[in-house]
Amino acid sequence: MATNAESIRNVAIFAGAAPRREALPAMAPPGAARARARSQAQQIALFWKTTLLVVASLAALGGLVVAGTGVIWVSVQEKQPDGTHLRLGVPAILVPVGLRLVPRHVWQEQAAQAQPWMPLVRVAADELRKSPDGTFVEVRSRSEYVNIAKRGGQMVVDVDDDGDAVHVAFPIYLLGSVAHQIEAAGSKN
Amino acid sequence: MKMNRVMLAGLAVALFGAAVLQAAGADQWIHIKVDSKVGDEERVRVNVPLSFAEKILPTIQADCLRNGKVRIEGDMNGVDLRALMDAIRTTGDGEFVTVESKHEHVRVAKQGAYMLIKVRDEDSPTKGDKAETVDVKVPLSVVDALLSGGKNELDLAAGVRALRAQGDTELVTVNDGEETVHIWVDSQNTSQ
Repeated sequence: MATNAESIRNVAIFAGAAPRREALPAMAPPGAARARARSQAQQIALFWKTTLLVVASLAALGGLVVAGTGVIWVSVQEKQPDGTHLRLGVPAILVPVGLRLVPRHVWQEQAAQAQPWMPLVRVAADELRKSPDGTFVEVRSRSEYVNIAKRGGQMVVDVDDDGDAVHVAFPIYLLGSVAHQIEAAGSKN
Repeated sequence: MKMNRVMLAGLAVALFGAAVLQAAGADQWIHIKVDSKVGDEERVRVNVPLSFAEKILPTIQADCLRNGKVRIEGDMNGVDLRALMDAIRTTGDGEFVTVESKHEHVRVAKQGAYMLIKVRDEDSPTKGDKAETVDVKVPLSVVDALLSGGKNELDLAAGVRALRAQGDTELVTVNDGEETVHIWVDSQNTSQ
């Protein structure tokens, strides 16, 4: 009898109508269930730890890239009573990357027009990088103040007049990088 | 004892050499300072490292400025500037041109290694109470370098190179009572 019942069960398993014996819910002892639950919790914790580690690594890598390639700082303050104050910090690396993403035909004509000045910009960028820090141009009057200076690896431009106070700082290498891309874009006419 | 003296002398020579090298390597700056007493009372300061100017000039391709050289337009009335400079260089110190009129005094002279131009104009329409004065002091080596290009052109880049070798130099001072212009070269990165 037992043999018949075993045969019927085997046929059912073969047909997929019955679960395999090892797949049947085992009447496991309470200690084993706790161990399994603990194992699942550990797996979930491991997943989150790994995710956090990846995110933190990416953030650190991004931070290193931004620190290594610099930031473009722009501040525009309108002097009227309800004037806005815009402050913007853009990773400098985005400029050459962004220029690569812009389709060439969009700015090819402008690039071709700017072409004669690009050797000047490239040499200027190279020489500025090597030049000592200092104020290159300062214009001061009753109504206006303009300052163009090199500080560290950055060019700093300040313009302050009756209407606005504008501050722009950007890494000098950016000039050469952009000039190189404009030359490349303009030469492929 | 003798060994110590030799070492001290060697150290002194090394320090002196280092100081000389540092002085030679220090970047020279050309400064332009304009102060106006009229209108907005504008004050302009331009400070440019000469090394920067030297490298930039040949890359500018404007109308009359090409490859660091300025083409002199117009008639020079047959004046050979290079021959004139040769003559000035080989003669001793002294005044070459003196123009005296009721309101104007112009003096062009050579003094040592410099060419001096002095103008005193007491008839300037913008002078106010003060006469217009112009003082130009150009090292002869710079003039030579400027004239080292082709005919009817000034080699600005060569002039800047010569200026770098010259050290601290006063170049131009203009004062017309309303505006003062001062151009000089030194190793400071600020206008004082």
